[in-house]
Order: sequence, then structure tokens, then C-alpha cells
Amino acid sequence: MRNFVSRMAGELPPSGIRKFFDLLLTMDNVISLGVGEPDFDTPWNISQVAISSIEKGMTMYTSNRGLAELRELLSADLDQRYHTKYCPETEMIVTTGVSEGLDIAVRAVVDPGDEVLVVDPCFVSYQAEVLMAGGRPKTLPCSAQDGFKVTPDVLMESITPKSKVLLLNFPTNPTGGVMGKDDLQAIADIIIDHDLLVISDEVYAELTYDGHHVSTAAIDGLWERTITLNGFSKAYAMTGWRLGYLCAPKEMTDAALKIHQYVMMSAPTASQFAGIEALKNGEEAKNEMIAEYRIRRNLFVKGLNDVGLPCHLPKGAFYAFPSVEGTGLSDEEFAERLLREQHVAVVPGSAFGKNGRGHVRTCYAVDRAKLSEAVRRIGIFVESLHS
Amino acid sequence: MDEKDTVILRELQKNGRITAGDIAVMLEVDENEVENRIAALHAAGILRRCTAVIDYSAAGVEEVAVILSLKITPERGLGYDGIAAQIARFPQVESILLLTGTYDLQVIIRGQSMSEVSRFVAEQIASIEGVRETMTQIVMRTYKEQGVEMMRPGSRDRQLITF
Repeated sequence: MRNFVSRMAGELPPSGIRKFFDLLLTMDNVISLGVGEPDFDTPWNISQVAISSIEKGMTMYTSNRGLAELRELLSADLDQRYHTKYCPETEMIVTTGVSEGLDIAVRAVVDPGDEVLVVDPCFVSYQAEVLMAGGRPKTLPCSAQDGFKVTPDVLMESITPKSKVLLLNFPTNPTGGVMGKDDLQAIADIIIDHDLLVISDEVYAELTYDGHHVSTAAIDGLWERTITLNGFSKAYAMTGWRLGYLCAPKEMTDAALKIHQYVMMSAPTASQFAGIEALKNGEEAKNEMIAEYRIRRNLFVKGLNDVGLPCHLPKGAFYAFPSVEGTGLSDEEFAERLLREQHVAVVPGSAFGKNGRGHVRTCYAVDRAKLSEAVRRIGIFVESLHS
Repeated sequence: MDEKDTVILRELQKNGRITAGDIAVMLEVDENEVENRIAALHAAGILRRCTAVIDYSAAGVEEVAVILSLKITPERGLGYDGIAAQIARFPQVESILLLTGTYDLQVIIRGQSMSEVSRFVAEQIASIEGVRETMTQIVMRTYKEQGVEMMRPGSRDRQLITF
């Protein structure tokens, strides 16, 4: 029998952390800092509205773009929060999480051979998404010294005549890096001069702790060349609801909508009703969760530094990305031995790209008691390496 | 009271054992400042006591709690305060609330056994002059106390690692 697997799927690189899944299954009493999702329950009023929508029998498809009320609320919210204006009828699509938003955005604009500039380290799906669309990912090296931002010099050096798209994600998974207005302004001219399109994944936007999030599309000259992705997963603790949205000028939204229609039809209906409630009455719960993440960030990052893992203060998202170079172990060895010896799960930084080497991703969306115990165990482990 | 004091009170209410050092890290201020603020909150009578929330049933300790509703004849010049103060002196009394509605005071009482609590209500509370009527309800189960959910299910199934 011939091999039926497509060349694309066959050649797609597997996840760099696969072996940790297998190892974890054999262990108990594990404190996991490896989960990139809020540990809070979805606020109950939001869940309740979704339940009620099902009870009322509202279980049919919605319009492909998503419920009109949801898009109108999103449009007003984006305008008020980030000063970006999108027409709810023509410039927005409600998606099945940001994951689908990313997929249809990339497929709507990337032709085979097009180069997509991807920040390194970055969320593991980005390069794979580009490959699945037939594009070529090209990494933009970012470093702790630069706060894991994209600097004009690095961007200039990375652009080639084939570069078409710049894929940004700020605040960043896995580093917690943030690009402020000045940072984005500094690369805007380069983006415009080289006629690049930006796909900006801003799913962690609300989790910006020092100052306010600046949306890429809010920078002069970038709105018309930006596809903005966002969603409810992180800010409203709604990961399992799979609810996101894509905003872009009409031409690109129309292209993405065609793909969305064929592959997804519409986002889950109950989730869309939940999203409406989140936008109408979720602000207070959201702010409480964000305040708690900020407190955990401060405690956790201090704890990591105190036990000998140098860590910059992440300005956003809920990840800390400490360096483990001083331990003499590679990030993979560090993660594997920490798991085996102290039952603490972290993700090796190299799973997120070459520039993640020497770091580990730790998620502090974990309750404070567990976080404190994790720091204690990490401390014992680091100490044991020196003795 | 400012925003920082509010955070300090909220954190102490959640966890009475939290250190000033940890609160200082959370608030991004000096540890001394936190200690001074806690002292000032104590002195002003705002921060009364940092206490523990205990699930005695989880510890296997026998304990009985009742909610006692009282109708009171208010005293001239004192209203309900005099009788409330008398009741408050008993260590068995956990809380006293003045309410609108059918009953005036609601008193929560804890004891080791039903007979002990019944005797206390009959002999010490019902006999107070001005107490016109009592209604006693037995607490069958505590689901939430002082903001702590006692019936919270164990940890939900969460993946141990994701991207």
C-alpha cells in the first residue's frame, strides 16, 4: 500500500515537547507550570448565558461572520480599548479561537514560496501554520537584552525580497515581552517601506501589566496592512470555548471569510452568546483575574531570581522565561531533570525557537500556594546542581 | 485608606499568614511601608484580627452550629445595642447581626453537641430580659464560609503541559 500521508503533513515538524507528555503521564504529584491557560473558571455569569442559550434552543449555525450583536460589541470594545476602528459588517469575522483566526489569516494571504517573518522565540503554531499554507517561515531573532522585542535593526536584517508577512504576537507567548507604542512606531516605516503585511496576534492584550496595550493597527500607516487577531481565551478564562475574532480591511477579511466558510462554517453558537455576556458584564471579573496575575508575576519572578534563575520581569501574558544557562544544563536537560527529580513541569525554551535556548517557559497562571511550592522545589533542584 | 491599604486588607483577608514581604512584592513597594500600613490599620480599628477558616468536618471533629433568630423588645436609650452586647460576651456566640424583617437579631452559635447548644440557648439567651421569641435552626452543612468554598470539588482535569 502506498503512503497516503501528504508530503506537507509528513514533513511538518512534530512538537518539541512531545517526550514530556509521555513522561508526565507516568508521574504523580506534579506541579505543572507548563499549561498556557488561566487556572480560573470562566466567570459564572458568562457560562450561565451560554447554558441558557442552549436551553432556549439557540443551537443552530450563526451567520458565517458570527452573531451581529457580538461583532457590534467587539467593534465598540476595540475602538474604546485600543482606538482601532473596524466595521462589524465587513471587517470582522468571529472565529473558532485565535487558532482558527491565525490559520485563515495566513492562508488568505500567503502564496507558496512567500516568506513570513516569525519572531523567535514564539508560539509553536506559527511556523507550522506558515508551512501548512505553503509559505516559508523566516525567524526574527529576539533576545532578553532587548526585552524580546522586535528591533528595527533585526527586522531590517531579516527582510528579503521574498518577505511578505510579519507575524507579531505581543504580549508574547513564551517570553511575556511587550511592544509599546514607541517600539511599534520604530518598525512601522520599515514595514511600510518594504510593503509588508502584519498579522498581529493580540490574544494576551488585556494581560498587559505596566501601561496599556498598544494594538499594531493603531499605529499610523499600519491599519491598512494589518490583520488583527484576538479572542476570549486568556482575558476571560475561556480557553475551552474556542472563541476568537479576526479584524482586517475588507479585502483581506473577505478572503479569510471564504476559507472560514469552507472549513468552519461558524464559531460555536453557545460560545458566541457567552462572548456577548463577557463583553457586556465580564469587565469586573476580568480585571480581578488580571490583578491576580500581576501579583503572581511579581511574587514568582522574585522567587525565580532568589533561587538563582535570572529572569527579566515579563510585562505581559502570564509566562516567565528565566535563563537556565547558569546551571550548566541545556534547557531540555533542565526541564527533564526538574520534572524527574522535583516533579515540576516547565517547557524548554528551545521548543519555541532557536533563540529560546537556555531558557524555560514557566506559566504563572497557577494558584499561589502551588506557585510558591514550585519555587521551593526549583530552588532545591538548582541548589543540587551546585553541590 | 487608599488603594494600597485596600489590597493589603484583601490579601490578609484571603490569607492571614501572608508576610509583609510578600505583600511588598505584590504592591511593588518597600516592606517597611507595608508593615507601617498594617500597624496603622490595626491602630485605627479597621483591621481587627487575622483569623483562620477551618473545616471541622474535614478534620473529623464533632461540631454543632445553630442560627438563632430573636425578637427583641428594644430598651429605652439603647435600642438593640444593650442586649446585643450582653449576648456578644458569650464565647459560644460567633456572630450577631441586626436585621430587618420578622426577627431582629440573628445569632450564630457553635458548640460541641446539640445538647450543649440547646442548654446554652434555653438557659443563657432565652432568659435575657427583652428577648421575646426565639427560633433555632440547625446548620446541616456549610458550603461557603468567609468567602471560602468548603464544597469546592478537587482539582479539575487540566492538561499538565500545553503550548
